Amino acid sequence: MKIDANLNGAILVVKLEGEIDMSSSGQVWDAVAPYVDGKKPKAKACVYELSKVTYMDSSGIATLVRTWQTIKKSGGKMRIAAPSPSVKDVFELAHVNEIFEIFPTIEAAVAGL
Amino acid sequence: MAEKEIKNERLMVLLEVGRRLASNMDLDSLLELIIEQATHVMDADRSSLFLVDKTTSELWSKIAQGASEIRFPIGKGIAGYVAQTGEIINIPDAYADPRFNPAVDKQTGYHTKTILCVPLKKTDGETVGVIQVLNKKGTKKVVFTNDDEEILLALAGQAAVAITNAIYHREVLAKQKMERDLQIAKSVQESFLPQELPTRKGFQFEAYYNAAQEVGGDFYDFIPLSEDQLGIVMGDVSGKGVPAALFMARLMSDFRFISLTESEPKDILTKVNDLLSKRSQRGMFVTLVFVILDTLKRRITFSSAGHLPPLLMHENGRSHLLELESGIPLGIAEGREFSQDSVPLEGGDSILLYTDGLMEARNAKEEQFGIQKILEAMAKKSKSNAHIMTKYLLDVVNNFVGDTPQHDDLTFVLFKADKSKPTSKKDKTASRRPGFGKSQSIGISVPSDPKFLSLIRKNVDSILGDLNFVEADRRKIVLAVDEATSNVIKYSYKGDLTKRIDFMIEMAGGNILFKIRDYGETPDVEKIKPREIKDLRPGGLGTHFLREVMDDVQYDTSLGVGTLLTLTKKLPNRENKS
Repeated sequence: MKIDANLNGAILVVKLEGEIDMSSSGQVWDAVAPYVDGKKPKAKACVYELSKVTYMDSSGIATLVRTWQTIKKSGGKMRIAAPSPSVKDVFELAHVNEIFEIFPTIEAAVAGL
Repeated sequence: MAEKEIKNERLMVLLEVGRRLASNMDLDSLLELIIEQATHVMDADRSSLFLVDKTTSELWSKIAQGASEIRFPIGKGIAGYVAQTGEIINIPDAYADPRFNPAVDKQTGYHTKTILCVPLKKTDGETVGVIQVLNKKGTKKVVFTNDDEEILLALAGQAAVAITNAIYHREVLAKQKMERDLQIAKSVQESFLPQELPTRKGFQFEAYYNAAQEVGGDFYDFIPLSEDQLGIVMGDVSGKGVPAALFMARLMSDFRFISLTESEPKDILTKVNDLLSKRSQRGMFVTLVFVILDTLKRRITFSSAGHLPPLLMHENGRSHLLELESGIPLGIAEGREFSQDSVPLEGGDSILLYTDGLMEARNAKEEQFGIQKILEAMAKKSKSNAHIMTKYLLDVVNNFVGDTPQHDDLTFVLFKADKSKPTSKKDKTASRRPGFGKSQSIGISVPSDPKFLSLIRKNVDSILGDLNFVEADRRKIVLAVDEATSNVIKYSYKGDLTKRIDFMIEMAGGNILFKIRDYGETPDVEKIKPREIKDLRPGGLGTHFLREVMDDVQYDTSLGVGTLLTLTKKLPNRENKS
């Protein structure tokens, strides 16, 4: 798995690549937490770009939900951009497509933040 | 204040220091504390402490003047002289004293004036180190007094005891850690070796494994490939302890998975080698021999990666070492080819697979058991059954070795063809590859480590592909198996990565069954139900996925230990096949 987390202004863009399972999802939170957790988080919004995620399980979902809940507390937003077919499947199974804001491209997700 | 009172006060301080030293079991912070207190009590500018290294006859210090480790021979310089003789040295004017070496001052820019150096002596008189205090403080020309000598000597005595205790404590901790590691390695290794011998018509199987004290890397495995074919692995992982045991455990699952998709020993070795080399852990590698025994055709096909040759023993006592062009050990370099050979077996023939622990078993005279004695022992019982042959070989080895402690694992596998060939009523069309042939099941085992999840997914996916599941279904089934396995790691084994998970994939009644067996804590079945989807904790979510994806989910906790989880999914309709 590859994680690329970049802060552009107050928007944290997290590009994930590869397989996110029990052995790797902890690293995603470790990369994201410094920007979204704490009293004065640096990021007001977080966009996950998931077009190159080949596999995601419930621990990956849990990490996204944790980001979403954490950033919501400080009044921020989390968005999902370009989920791969595998990600879409697991979103549907977990019904998180009903709570996450999902956009077809990273540009669309960042627009208006 | 009268001089006596001053001295009394310093003795009180000393008592307090003694108490603090005695309660500190961490060597590094203890040394710092001693230096700090000596400087303070002696009213000096700075101090250094050197410990004796008995193995090299050196003095060493980690924290003298904050420098990194310093080492010099006992006998050299003032500290070295004190360590050697146990005498006290009190120098009122360093630069006027020939024993003083000004080189250190030149290097550090410090100006040494007065030096008091005393040995750290234990109560039994052994010198464990030296403490040196520099530059007594004061406005006029001040020197270290006789009282100073006495007090520093008293402090040094307390320090010596405290240091000895701390070093002992550190050794005990290190030993405990080693013993724990050893325990882990043993449990990993033992849980991965086959629990029972295979039963095949027309053949007898025996295996022996006895780990040396240190836990080596020997292993063997029997991999059922089909009704007629059995894979047999015998290998030796380089290195010892926990890393070797984990490496071995992973290697064994690699073999099981790869022998699902490859049918020739040489190709299986090539693939396993590529996997290991890519993973390349701490320069670990493995020598092994892989044999496919065809019990119907009575033939073995085998390939070797730098391992000792199998031994073929005929019933009449004649024998051959089955030498073949051996490849390099697995895990060193990618993209290697391996050769293989095939040998027919007659009734009464036996094959012995072994590791160097058998060849190199030593007696008190340091003589090795050697291949000749193995051949003699085997020949002597060549007409007996596999069990008696094994027992006799073991007796001969044990007699040879006597009371000499075992220095390496002792491992071997022996199988023997019965005299009479079994008559087969077998359906000849059954194939051994996915889709499953006749017996319709595949068994594999992996350690309870999330690192193996991706391996499981890949192989489950490839089996599903062979069974014509459409991609979206494949993804979901793979997800469900992954979630079930993650839950075993998290809940049954509480995150312990060294346990074992067995998988059995079966085809029955138009269904594919994934059976996942663990040997951990038994969950309360009543509580295993999907949580409300609003409750997004991962454990419950994973269970929700299982129920959503699979047609049936059953937990069996009546097995005495652990749980057998069976996930059932209908096979795709034939019309779906393209």
